[in-house]
This record gives sequence, structure tokens and C-alpha cells, in this order.
Amino acid sequence: MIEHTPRFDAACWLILAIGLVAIFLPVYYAFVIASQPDSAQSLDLMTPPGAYLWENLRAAWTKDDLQRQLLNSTVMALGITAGKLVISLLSAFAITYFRFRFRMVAFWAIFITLMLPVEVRIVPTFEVVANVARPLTSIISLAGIDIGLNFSMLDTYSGLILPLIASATATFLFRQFFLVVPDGLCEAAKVDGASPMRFFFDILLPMSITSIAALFVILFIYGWNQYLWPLLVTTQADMTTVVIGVARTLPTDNADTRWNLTMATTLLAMAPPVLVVVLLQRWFVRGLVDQEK
Amino acid sequence: MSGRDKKVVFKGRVLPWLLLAPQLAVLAVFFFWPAGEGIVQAFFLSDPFFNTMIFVGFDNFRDLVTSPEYWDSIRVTLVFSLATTATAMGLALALAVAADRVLHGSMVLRSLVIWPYAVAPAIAGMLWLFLFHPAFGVLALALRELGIDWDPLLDGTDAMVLIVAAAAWKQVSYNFVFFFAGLQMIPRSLIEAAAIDGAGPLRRLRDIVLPLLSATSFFLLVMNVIYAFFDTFGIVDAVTEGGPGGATRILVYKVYKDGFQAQDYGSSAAQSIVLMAIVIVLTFLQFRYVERRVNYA
Amino acid sequence: MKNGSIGLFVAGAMLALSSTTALATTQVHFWHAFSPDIKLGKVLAGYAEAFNASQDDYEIVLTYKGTYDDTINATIAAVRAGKQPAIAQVHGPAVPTLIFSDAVVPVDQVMADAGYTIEWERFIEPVMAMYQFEGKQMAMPFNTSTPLMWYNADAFEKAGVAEVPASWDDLEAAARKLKDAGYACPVTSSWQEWVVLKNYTFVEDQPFATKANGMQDPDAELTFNKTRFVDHLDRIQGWIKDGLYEYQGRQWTGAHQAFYNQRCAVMLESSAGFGGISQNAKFDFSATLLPVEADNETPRNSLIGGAGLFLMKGLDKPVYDGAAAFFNFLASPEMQYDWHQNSGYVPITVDAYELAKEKGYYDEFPHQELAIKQLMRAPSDNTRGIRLGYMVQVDEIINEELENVWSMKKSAQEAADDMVRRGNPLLSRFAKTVE
Repeated sequence: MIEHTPRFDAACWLILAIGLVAIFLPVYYAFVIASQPDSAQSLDLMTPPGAYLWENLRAAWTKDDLQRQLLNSTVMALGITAGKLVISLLSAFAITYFRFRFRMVAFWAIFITLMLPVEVRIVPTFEVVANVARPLTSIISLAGIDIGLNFSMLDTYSGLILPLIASATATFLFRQFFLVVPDGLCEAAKVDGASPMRFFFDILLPMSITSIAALFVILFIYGWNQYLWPLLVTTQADMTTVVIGVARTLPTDNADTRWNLTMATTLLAMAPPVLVVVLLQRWFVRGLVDQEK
Repeated sequence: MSGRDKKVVFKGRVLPWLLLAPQLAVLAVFFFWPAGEGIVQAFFLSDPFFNTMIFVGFDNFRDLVTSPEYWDSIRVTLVFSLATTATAMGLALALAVAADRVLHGSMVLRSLVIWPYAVAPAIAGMLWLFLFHPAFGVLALALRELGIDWDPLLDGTDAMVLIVAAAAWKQVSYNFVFFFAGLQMIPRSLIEAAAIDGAGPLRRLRDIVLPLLSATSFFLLVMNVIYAFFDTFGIVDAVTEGGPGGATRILVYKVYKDGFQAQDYGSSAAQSIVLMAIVIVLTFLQFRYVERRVNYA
Repeated sequence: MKNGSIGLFVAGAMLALSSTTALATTQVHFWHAFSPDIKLGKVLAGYAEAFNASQDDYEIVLTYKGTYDDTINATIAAVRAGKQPAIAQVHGPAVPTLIFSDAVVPVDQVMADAGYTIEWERFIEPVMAMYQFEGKQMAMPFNTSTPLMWYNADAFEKAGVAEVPASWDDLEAAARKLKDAGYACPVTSSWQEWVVLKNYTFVEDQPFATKANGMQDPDAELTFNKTRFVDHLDRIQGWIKDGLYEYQGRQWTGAHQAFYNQRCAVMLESSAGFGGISQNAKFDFSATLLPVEADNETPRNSLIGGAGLFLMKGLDKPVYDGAAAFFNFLASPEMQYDWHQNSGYVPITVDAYELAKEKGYYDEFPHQELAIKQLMRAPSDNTRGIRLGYMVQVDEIINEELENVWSMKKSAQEAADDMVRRGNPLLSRFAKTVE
């Protein structure tokens, strides 16, 4: 402690207390609602948590598709994470450690993808996934030839994953990180006669572990929380994801809603990404802060 | 940022392209092709099945700029983005400074703050609705008991406050982590030296801590603005549906609504081009005018 | 259905022959918006199962595609990619999009091709009219509802409202009594653009738009800003000023919650709201017909809400035969009666209505009959339906401007004029795409 300033410290405690209450209030009521019996009436601020949390969670957990949905969400989130990490590491390496013609063109081609989220181009993207050969056949058909190639990715994990890999966030963060890696390392590797790939695997990759961990967290959450895309691209019940599962418990029309079950499902759907963030936070923070320098 | 290039590089013409190939292939098929089709749509009036496609030139754009409601949406979007970014960053900074001051590097505290970042925007919207819906939100009912006039269904300002709060709630946690980590990395000696010179905690904050956090702040500014522009339609959809009277009809929500719900693909595509242009300009301005003040120590 | 032992035998045989029957069974994909976790979804799943068990040729495969909006979008995307389902459940605002498209096949044609003779005149007229185009039946009505006036009978008694209001003037008088009795929100409405605007123009026989609300030609213009609707809007604005009416949001949840917790005593809301109300209202409630103007001697039919089942183009004949068989199965009076009871939606045939009457269903649930009675009133050109393009955006404009009236930002006339000014360009844009 540098000096003793009780009033400033008290203000700090107050800010922290208010902040924590604001952060926890919404989820506290999610717990309150999730713990009510089916017969519960409308809530007010003072409604205490009920005794049915465990039962409602179990009901949500054993619901027809929930476990399958959790599995699908996990596969999708991990697939997006792994896919993006691999292609981004390679492309960031190429862009920072090489000088080649059209380098800046490639750079901007990747950068521009930050500016058009998947929601905006969702229908044309669906058509591509329904027939991945579509860009090719469309170009060839301009020449008057119909090659009739058709390869659909609907209802597959690739269809869920690949279009969401097509963005640049990870490439950017890796580029920022590579830029601050001391030049001496590369110099030394070149003196030793190491090939670029050798340098990449033996030096750059181990140094990037914290950045990779940080991006793992960001991408996992991004993937897990997708809603519109999985809804569009899956037609079979056993391919849907858990965020859709939550939306499913909400009524379409003037139907009965079991808010307690909705909230219990919500809690289950929130748990994996929250755990990932909380457990990996040390890496998350270090990875992101280091590359700021 | 293009000014920051490596001085030492490898030789090779084929290898970099091989390394880029997977990324470019995925982007070409799943980004540029569909985005290109989307941009073409902006110049057509079509039925959703594309049986009829009428070339209309810039009509879709002209309809936008001649509509007072569209300009109002732009204004609403700027207010929303500014308010969300300022709230999320301001609160996160206050929390981080307070936590750094009295708790130092507590992992427990960080865990308590960080988790809302992991909550899906649509789910966050739902959680907030349970608190603030005038008819059944628990906090809204409590406010009414206290005689406070809270009606986001009819009062545009209340509605804006509500979506800013919900959007910022998710983002405060993310910002906090960065600020908190940034504060932890400021050398103690620097602070102590200032304290010996007689600078009080607030003065030290202004003169030493904030300048040292400028790089972090800049990064967060860019991320927060992009978040507010693009990732918030789920919150608006769940909480206000753009109402009342268009008071919370932000651009990305309109893109989503007109394209995905009304199947007016031409207008929606034109709107996404405008939205994209606005974000590119903003990002450029941020790099041009804000990054210059950043202290990359 | 057969007796138990035969059912068991069939099940056993099917299990044993599953590999061969799988080849023989034609799958008919049906995309819908009824979550399998809620009652409607379970009822629908039960019907599909019953149909699948009743024969060996076809299998209805249900897929829940999210909200109505998600379902229509998934269907459009699938059609464009050549992966369309056979049957899609499409809600009101998107119906014109499909009717004017090349993407669907008329239901009557498919039923005829499959060898079914359907007495279309035995269907309830305003329900069918919504889906009729150039003399063809473009879709099968599925879930159909119409608004009623739900009220808290205990509150009426407490406030001394002896007679259930039949006219808007009666309702205003009742609202004043309810207010005096301490109700903060005497009257509210769900789905305001449907209830407060469109249904008012229907019941009062006022035009919503030209060309019979677009039913004759989608190149129409909104005209409700020059009708009695403006006075009605002005009246409700006055009610808000006097604390007789409270706005509870665009959809239904807010109005329902305020009705359940007895803040609002009267709720103008869909007949299909019965499920939620009966489950949650812990007081004596009832329903009656929508109010009419005191001088209106021939109130017209109200406007339907809900969704119809479209058949998508480009599939094999056996698939359509399967869909036809399923529609035939659904349209039977027994099934429609069951649907009526279990879902709260109205039956689509007169036969089903008569069956329900015969079984004494309305003695027990009298308000379930109100919706049908209200729909079976004689229609006029103003009340055969609404068929205009980009209705999602038009509805949003209407909602925004209504909110501007409720918040006193605009007068009734200003807001109605703005709705028309903002809506008409959308209608003409859409009309260009279907010429």
C-alpha cells in the first residue's frame, strides 16, 4: 500500500460492490426462475429461490435432444476454434514473415471480412453450403457448360463449421503478436540455416502458446453462441445446437411457456462457455495483453 | 498499421501462397462468393426466390437516403454505439481501478466479473427482459412500487437505456479483463515515485495510469465499436424490437429485419453496404486520429 | 385405429421388415414452427405419429425450424438450393410472398391428382379465402385464430359492470368503472397492428387498402388513414390519457402477464390465447366478441391470424401423394375437432364445427365457439383478407407509429398518415416483383 486513503478505498469498495451486484442480478433471477415449481405465480424482486432447481435442471438435462445438442455445440465450437487457429496461424505467418507480390492485396482481402458479419450474407452463404461446388459451376456455366457438380454440406458438421471459419479476427491477432516477436529470433534462425517452416514450428509456435490460448477462449465462445447459422443449415433434429435448444423452449404463438424449464435449459447452455472463460482466464488475459506491447 | 512491418523476413515466393491457401480458399468460397452475391442484390429488386430480378441501379440506396426514418436510424445507431462503448469502457475501467487498488490480483474477483462475456447475446437480452419488462420484469415492478416512471415500451429514452445497459453488461466483463491486466503490468515503482512526489490517487490515475493504458484502451475502443454496430441485434430483437416508434431501431437490426424477416433482399443488401461503409470509415478515423495519441510504450 | 393386438402385430412386422419398409416408405418432410417442447408441438407430433402408424406408404418427417420467420427463411433458402421440404408452415405476413412465387404447387391440384375429392365449400370461408389465388387453393389452413375480447369476470363484478360490453362505447363506460374500482389498466391489447388496426377495419367494414386490400391485385395502396379507423385511434389515445388503456408491448407476453396479475381487466387478444389464460389466470375469466361501433348494424367477419401449410414445387409425385394423404387425414372432422380442443385454434371445416357442437363442447367452453361465429359473418370486399407485400415491414411501421400515438408524440391522424406514407412505397416495390 502506497498510502492510506480510507475515503478513496471506501469508494473503490463501493464501486466494486455495485458492479458485482449489477453483473450478477440478471443471472440471479435466472436461478430464481429456474428453481420455481411449475405452479409458481409471477415473481417479484423479493421472491426467494425455490427448491426445484435440481429437479428443473434434471428435467432440462434429460429432455429429448439436450445432450445431443450439447455434443453438437461442443463439436461445432471446437471445430470452429481449431479450424480458425490453424488457417490463421499459417496466413499470419505468411503475411508477417514474407515479402511477396500482392502481399497487401492478400492482407486487405482478409481484413475486409471483419466488416460483413455472417448474418448479413446468410442466404447466399446457405446456397454455397447446399452446394459447395456452386461458385465453380456458376463460373463455368458462364462459358455455357453445365457440369452438374453437386456437393451438399447441409446437416453436416463441416456445413456448421466452415462458413464460420471464414473471417479474419484470429489472423489479425496473430499478426499483431508476430509483429512484436523480436527480429533477432528470425535472424538467428536464418543464420542457423533453419527453413521457414522449421522456424515456425520450433520457435514461433511455442512462443505463441498464450495467444493461442486467448484465441481459443474467444473463438470457442463465438462458436458456441451462434444461433442463426445453425438454425438455417441443420434440418435434422440430431444436428441442432444447444442455443437453438434454448430458443425452442420459448413459445411461438400464444402457447404455454414453462419459464422455469427455459431458464434451467439456459443455465445448462451457458455453463460450458462460462467454464471455459473462467478456467482459462489466466491464459486468456496473458495472451491478449502480451500482444498489446 | 501498415507502417509496422517486419525488418527481417524469409525468402520465398511459393511458400507464402501455400501458407495463405487454406485461409484464402475458405474465404473465397464461404465469404467472397456469398458476399459478392449479396452486393449484386443491392442493385436489384427481386422476389426472394429470384424468379424475377429487376435491375434498379442505385434505387435501393436512393430510397434509403431519402427516407427520414433511415437517417433517424443512423442517428440512433451512433447514439447507441457511443453510449454502449462509453458505458462498457467507463464502468470496466472504474471496476478495474477499484479492484487493482483494494484487491490487487485476485483471480476470484476476476472470475466473478468475467463470465457474462460468455453469454450469448440473445440469452443476455432475455435475462434483461425478465428484470425490466414493464409488465413482468421484477425490477420494473419494483421501480413502479417506488413511484418511478419506467416505461421502455413507450418512452424512447428508457428503451435506449435498457438496450445500452444490456449490451454494455456483456461487454463490461470483457473490457474489465483487459484493463485489469493492463493495470497489473504498470510497474509499482512508477506509482510509488509519483506518490512520493505528493500526487494523490486520482491525480496519479490521470497523469500516469491512464496514459499507460492508452494502447489497451485503443484496442478496446475498436473492438467495442464493432461489437456495438454488429453483434447487438440479438439484444434489440429480444428486448425492444426497435421500438418504441423506432427509438432503438439500430442499423444492424434493420438489416436483419428487412432481409431476414421481410425478405426485402435488395434493400437489406443496400443497407449492409452502407453499414459496412460506416464501420470502415469509423475504423479508419479511429486509426487516423485516435491511434496517434496512443502510447505504445 | 385398429385394436391393440393388431397394432402390436403390425409393429412387430414393421420392426422385422424395417429394412425393406424403409425402401418402400416415401418420406414427406414437413417444416414447422411449433417447438416440440411446448404443447402445440407435442400435439402436432402426435398427429404425425398417428398418421405414420395408420399406413405404410408415407412417413411424415417433422422438423422444427424455429420461429415463423426462421421457418420461412429456411424454406426460401432451401428452395433456392433445391433442398426444399414438401410441406412448410407459413404465417400470415409471408403468405403473399409464397402465393405470388413460382415455388409452390396449389393444394387443390395436388389433392385432386392424388385422387381425393374435397368439398372445398365445406371449409370456413374467410379461413380459406386467405389462401385462394386465381381460383386455386394455394395452401391448406392449419392453425387459425382470430381476436376476441377476454375479460376478468371477477373484476367486472367488483367494478359493477353488470353487462358485458358489446360496443366500443360500452367498453369505454366499463373501463371508467374499472378504473374507479382501482384497476390501473382497464383495457389492453396484444398484437396491436392485428387487433387495434386490421381487425377494426374488418369488423367495421372499412377498407385497409385499395383493390380489396390487395386481394384483387397487390399493386394497391393503404387507405385506412381516410376511414373511421382514425377516429378509433383517436379514441384509444384519449383512453390512454384518461388511464383507461395501457400499452403492453407489440407481442402477447406483456398483455398476458398484465392480465394474469390482474393489472389489466380486459384484454383484446387471439382466441388461441385460451391455453395460456386458462393455465395462468387464477380468477373467473371469460370472453366475448370483439366490440363494434354502436351504429354498426352489420358487423363483418374478423381477420384471421396463424399459418397455413404450403406445398413446395419440384418434388416427386409420391411425395405429393403422401402430403395429400396427410392433409386429408388432418382435415377429417374428428382430427379438426381434436385440434380445436387441444390447440385452441378454430377448426377449418363446417363439419368439424358441427361435430364440436354435437358433442356439446361449447356448453363447456362457450368462448371457443365465439371465434367461429365471428369468422362466419358475411364478408365484404373489405374483409376477404389482406394480400400485400413486405407486410413484415409494413406491420413494423404500423407498430412504430401506433407507439407514437400512445406516447402522445403524434395525433391519430398524423400517425395514420405517416403509416400510409411509409408503407405505400413498400407495397409498390413488392408489386413490381410479382408483375
